[in-house]
Amino acid sequence: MIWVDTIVQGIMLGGLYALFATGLSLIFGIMRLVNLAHGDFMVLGAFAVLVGVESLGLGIIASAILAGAFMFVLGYALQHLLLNRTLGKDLLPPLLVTFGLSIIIQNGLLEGFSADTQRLKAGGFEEVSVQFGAISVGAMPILTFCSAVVVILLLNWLFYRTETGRAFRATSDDPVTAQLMGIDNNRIFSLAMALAMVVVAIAGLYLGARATFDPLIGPSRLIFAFEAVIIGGLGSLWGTLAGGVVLGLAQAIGAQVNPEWQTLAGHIVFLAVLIVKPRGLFPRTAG
Amino acid sequence: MALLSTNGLTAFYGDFQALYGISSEISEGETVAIIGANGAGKTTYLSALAGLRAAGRSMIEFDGSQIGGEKPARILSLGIAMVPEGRRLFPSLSVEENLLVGNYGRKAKGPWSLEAVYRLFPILRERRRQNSSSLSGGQQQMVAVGRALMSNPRLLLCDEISLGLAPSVVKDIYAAIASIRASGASVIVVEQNINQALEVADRVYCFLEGRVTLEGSPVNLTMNQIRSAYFGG
Amino acid sequence: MIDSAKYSVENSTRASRIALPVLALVVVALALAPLAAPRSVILDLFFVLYLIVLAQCWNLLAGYGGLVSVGQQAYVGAGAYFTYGASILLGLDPLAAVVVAGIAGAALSIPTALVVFRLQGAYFAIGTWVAAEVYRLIFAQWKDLGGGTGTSLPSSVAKGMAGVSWTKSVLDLKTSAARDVVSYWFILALAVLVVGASYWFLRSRRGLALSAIRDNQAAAESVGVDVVRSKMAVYVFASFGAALAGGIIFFQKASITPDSAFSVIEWTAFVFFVVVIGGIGTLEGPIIGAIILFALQNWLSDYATWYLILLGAVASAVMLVAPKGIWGFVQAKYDFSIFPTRRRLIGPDTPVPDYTRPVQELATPEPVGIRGSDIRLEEPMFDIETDVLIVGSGPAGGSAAALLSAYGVPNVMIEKYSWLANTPRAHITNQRTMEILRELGIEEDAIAKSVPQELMGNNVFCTSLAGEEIGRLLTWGNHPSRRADYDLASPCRICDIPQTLFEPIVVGKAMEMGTIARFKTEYVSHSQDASSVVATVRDRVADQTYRIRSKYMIGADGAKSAVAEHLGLPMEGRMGIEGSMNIEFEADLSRYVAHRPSVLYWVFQPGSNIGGIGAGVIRMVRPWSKWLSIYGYLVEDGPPELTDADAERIVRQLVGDDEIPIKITRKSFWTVNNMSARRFSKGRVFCMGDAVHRHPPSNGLGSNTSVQDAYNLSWKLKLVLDGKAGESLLDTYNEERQPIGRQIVARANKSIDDYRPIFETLGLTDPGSPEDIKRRMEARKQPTIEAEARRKALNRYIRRKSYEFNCHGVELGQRYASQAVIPDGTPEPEFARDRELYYHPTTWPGAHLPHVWVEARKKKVSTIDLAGRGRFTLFTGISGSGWVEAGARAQAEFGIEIRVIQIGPGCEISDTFGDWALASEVGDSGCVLVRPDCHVSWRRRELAANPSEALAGAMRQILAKR
Repeated sequence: MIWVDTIVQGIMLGGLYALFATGLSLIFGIMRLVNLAHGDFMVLGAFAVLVGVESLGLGIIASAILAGAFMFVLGYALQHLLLNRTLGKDLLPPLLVTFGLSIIIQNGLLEGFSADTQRLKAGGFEEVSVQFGAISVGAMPILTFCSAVVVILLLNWLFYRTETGRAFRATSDDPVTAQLMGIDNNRIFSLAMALAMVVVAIAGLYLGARATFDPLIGPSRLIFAFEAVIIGGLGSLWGTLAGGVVLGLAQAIGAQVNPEWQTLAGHIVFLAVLIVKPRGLFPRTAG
Repeated sequence: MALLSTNGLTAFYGDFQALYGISSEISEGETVAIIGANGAGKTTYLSALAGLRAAGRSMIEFDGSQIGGEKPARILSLGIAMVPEGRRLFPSLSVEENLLVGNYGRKAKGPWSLEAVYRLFPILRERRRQNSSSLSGGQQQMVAVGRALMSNPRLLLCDEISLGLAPSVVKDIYAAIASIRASGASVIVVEQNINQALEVADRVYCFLEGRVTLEGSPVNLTMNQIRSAYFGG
Repeated sequence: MIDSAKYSVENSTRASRIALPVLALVVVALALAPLAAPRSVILDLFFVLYLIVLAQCWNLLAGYGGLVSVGQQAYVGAGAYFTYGASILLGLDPLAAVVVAGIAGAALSIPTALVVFRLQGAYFAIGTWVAAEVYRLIFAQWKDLGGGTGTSLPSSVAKGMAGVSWTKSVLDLKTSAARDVVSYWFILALAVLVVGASYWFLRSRRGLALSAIRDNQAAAESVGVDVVRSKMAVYVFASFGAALAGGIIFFQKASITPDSAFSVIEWTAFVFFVVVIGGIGTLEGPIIGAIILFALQNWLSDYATWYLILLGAVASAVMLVAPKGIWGFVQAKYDFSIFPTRRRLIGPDTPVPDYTRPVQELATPEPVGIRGSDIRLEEPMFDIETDVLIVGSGPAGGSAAALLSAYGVPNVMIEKYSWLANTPRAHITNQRTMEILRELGIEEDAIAKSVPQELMGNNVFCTSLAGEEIGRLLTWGNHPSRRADYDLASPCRICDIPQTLFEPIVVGKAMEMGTIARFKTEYVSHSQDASSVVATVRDRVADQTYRIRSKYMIGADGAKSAVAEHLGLPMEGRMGIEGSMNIEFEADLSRYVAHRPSVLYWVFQPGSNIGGIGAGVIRMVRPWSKWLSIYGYLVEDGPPELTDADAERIVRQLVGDDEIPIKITRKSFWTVNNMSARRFSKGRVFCMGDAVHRHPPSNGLGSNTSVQDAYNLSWKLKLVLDGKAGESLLDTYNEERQPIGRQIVARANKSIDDYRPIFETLGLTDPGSPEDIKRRMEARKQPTIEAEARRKALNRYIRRKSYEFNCHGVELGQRYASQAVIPDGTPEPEFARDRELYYHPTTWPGAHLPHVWVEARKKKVSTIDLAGRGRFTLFTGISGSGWVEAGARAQAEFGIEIRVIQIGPGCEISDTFGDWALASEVGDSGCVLVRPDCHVSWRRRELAANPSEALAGAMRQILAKR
């Protein structure tokens, strides 16, 4: 029974990692940008919600919406003004510039909020749990997982059912020809980053609501996000969800064996997947 | 008045000059063919018109305004669409999505719609859900032409659309070009195949090493004139 | 032809010559700093130095190896933890512990590399980071070292250290300060080691290959295994450096936690910034970056977070605005370099990489006895002694043996295999080679076994031998307009002799004249000192090794030369560009070739352009029954499995006949290479032939150039061995032949590229069904303008192949510039025609003696017959009688034979046709001095005021007698 419980917890944890990973997967898929500041953006999102709740006195939902809007604008501006200039064949510029952003965000947050541990309070919701027979599952993890599914559904709708989504996919396939269709690459990339940042804000919300956070935890969360993306492969966002679940399961099972092995187990499964299937479990097939 | 004209259009690849001051024009409803040997600068010329290569602002004029060096997106929105060499379809998009993405940057009223493209190339309707990479070369070329038509362009640029296709397929494609002309659009075709070009065009420009060596209507040109323009000397 | 200005080779920049001594002074000053500087300064310097070490290691990885790692903290942390483990738990002296930790860190990097090397680009970056996290989590489980909370270094550990207590007493310091000083010295030494090793590595062949790979990713993909090995070496070295640095850093800090030891910010992000700001891909950049980072940190020391924000911003800005960093900017602007690694120039005697040397080798011949434990003391010192040892019996080695024996130089030739060439390989034998055979007295033997010029030249381009002929090019001087060029250039004629027949003639002559040849004897290793070379060789029959001591050694052991490798000759270019197979077969093809006899038939079919030497080839080996097909394969895929049936299918496809009887006799695989050595010799060892110029058979230059290498070196060895010339005469071998080697390697590879447009024009390269291809091939036959354009283009491209098959200027027009050639102040004569296609005879010093026919006692002789043969020759006219005495005096003074030949009416030699008067380019009283290898080394237009002095001066310079 304990193992069933562990597996359910692992899958739920996978939902959180999928949320972490979706924004990253989005921008890597569309513009091949490796964003080393992604984890710090999530932390920034969590702080944005915190500001809404604690300084502006808003409810957590209203704060999250505001944070989403803020991150959307920030993402658009960053991509438009800075990150578009790093794109190209060379891997170094995006790596270095996002590394720089990571350090700037971490230290900016330290300057503004100190190194204290923070937590987003969801009004007691985090205490609620749902009973499934003998297993009890927290309402918050279930909500997280459902949010991940909803986010992916929405993004898939956007990608496959809207004109903008087609433009994203066309640009990802062939940026030069996309221009001939009247698609402005810079605008599309900026829009993609803005969208990804909305997802990041949602991820930040759950990051802050499910556990404590401080300005410096971004990099470790970034690694989880990367692992989920790469385990899943770049075929689809559902692959990313699957990657998150695999990672979550690995961590939960590892923790069950020895609490200190939680993270380690995740890393080892990640490396194992890379050795066996370097392009992930669900790689992109056509093109 | 000319719909589009180039005035002393030049282009460079690093130190190598590909175009040495091309002056040309095309009127509303006209079909112009650009012929010339490999490396004559034909594709460079089209790329400059489409905004894929840098050009001086005054070097290209379209419908009374100077558009040289504009971004491709802006040029498309004005009504110049291009069928690029080698088709360049989007592999992760279906046939229909490839067509639909064609009017992303310009939604103009006109004869062309998804329905109209399917009427022009009925085979595409059957294949609409398929991945574009599963089509034959000729069918891919149809998608590429249809994609460009979706924006209802006033001027259509076609780069080597017969390249690598079987003769019967080339015939089909050029039959479509005839319907496109009939719909009122102007067309510039770049062609290796001179007979094909002479057949379809109202006027012909021959390029040699980045310069125009001959210009005229096919009915007034002799094969000898074309030969000497093509080879020089 | 050689233009000394163009080819002059520099091994350093002016800046580097000034900067390196300055740098040495700085290092000494830094080493002495603890005597005067306060502890805080030492700690600052410690910080800068460890940043330099880490940055340099990361720069090697990312800047040169293209391995953008975000996980080097793995090795810093591991090094730190191993140091603590070894000193606290094992009680090792901490400095020894650091070294152990460095080795352990390097060892750890190997399995890690096996995992992360499977990833590329961004995936690699993330994979390395995850690997580092894995190590962090594992080390956090090490309970003896405090687990997740870490531990500190007990003060007793440092106190007990020998280094610390010595420093304490000498500098009169407390324990903690002494520990800082010891750490500082260690990191200084490490910094010097890392920078120096990087410098050495980047200038080595492997390092240059690595830079080349970084600059051209496409090239990297086709080179294969060697790249992976080089990258692996870099990764292990960088990890070793990081682990050593980690060990000493945490020894100095005296406490450790997993988070601090494996900090991605501290050990990777900062390092990343340092390298980018300073200048990635340069050795100077990381040093400058470290200093800048230190300055920034000091300046903003009170505002830690703002400092980091600024650092991130500055690094990002540098990346976007000046991606080559500060040093890259300086270099671009002032062309200034302290550590010149990027120039492809000869290094100053780069040390021989040790890994290439077998361990059993003796370091030097003399100090053998010093090694007390060396049991070989009992054995005779050397089994064989000779003047010149020649390794290899191919065209280069065989000719060297024959020429040395002809000159009377004792020589031993060893050959790895039991007999000479067993496959036809080289065959085109050009006029220069024939001239040398003529001098050796074996021209007639060679002609008897050859296919003559007339039957060589209907070079056919076809879709198959039985199929359509696309075009034909009269080659090897068979076009009437070229025939005269060939006839006028030499007393000898070009011909075709398969290597299987050529080698026995040359080697037989060598042995007849005294060469001692040992077959089945493999070169193993060598060492040299100031007076001799000792080679260890293995007798493969008795399986015994023995040693041969010689005064000089020649490495003529082919494209896989072990001699060149052991010598560490710097190479440029790549091996294994394309794969190729030789299929020898017997078939009577006369019905297809009788109307167009040739040595080569080129087949253009879909697929015959893949790999190989540009197109499929059917080569005549013996007319018209023995043949050789050359067909390519993709070198990335490795040699294919090839049964006789497969081979027959390929041959039939090229011949285009399913009926004719074909017997496959042999199959072999080889690769197209594009590599030449930047030096041909080092010390007393000289390499020649394919050992130093490796290229495809196109242009038929391989064995010809090899023979000429031998001709160039042999007389020089003779004169130096006899004490008649200074040793520096031998340096001219490298100066004269290296540019030729490079030229022909480039020419032969260019000739392969020239096939591509033919395939393209025929429409064979575009994809499509066989019908599509057939349609495109037919397209050129239409009466249309496009078809006409195709026909014209095809004609042009086929004519361009004259650069492969009628390349007379490259074959004969080699000119030398060196100490052994004395310019006469006149500019190099204009090339009236294309210098590659046409030979331009001249007596301009450095050029080959022009051939004209003159008469001696009613017999036609060539000027070339009059020269050579191991002696100097001085040509003059009747008015040049002054030179006769000058020649006699010089002969007496230098003790070498100088034959003075007066040409004119009434003289022994008469210029019956009047050709010499024109060809000599000097007046009747002038003179032309010709070296034993028939190259002009000096000339005077008129009689000198003091001919004896003028000639003696010239001889002194040529013979390097000063």
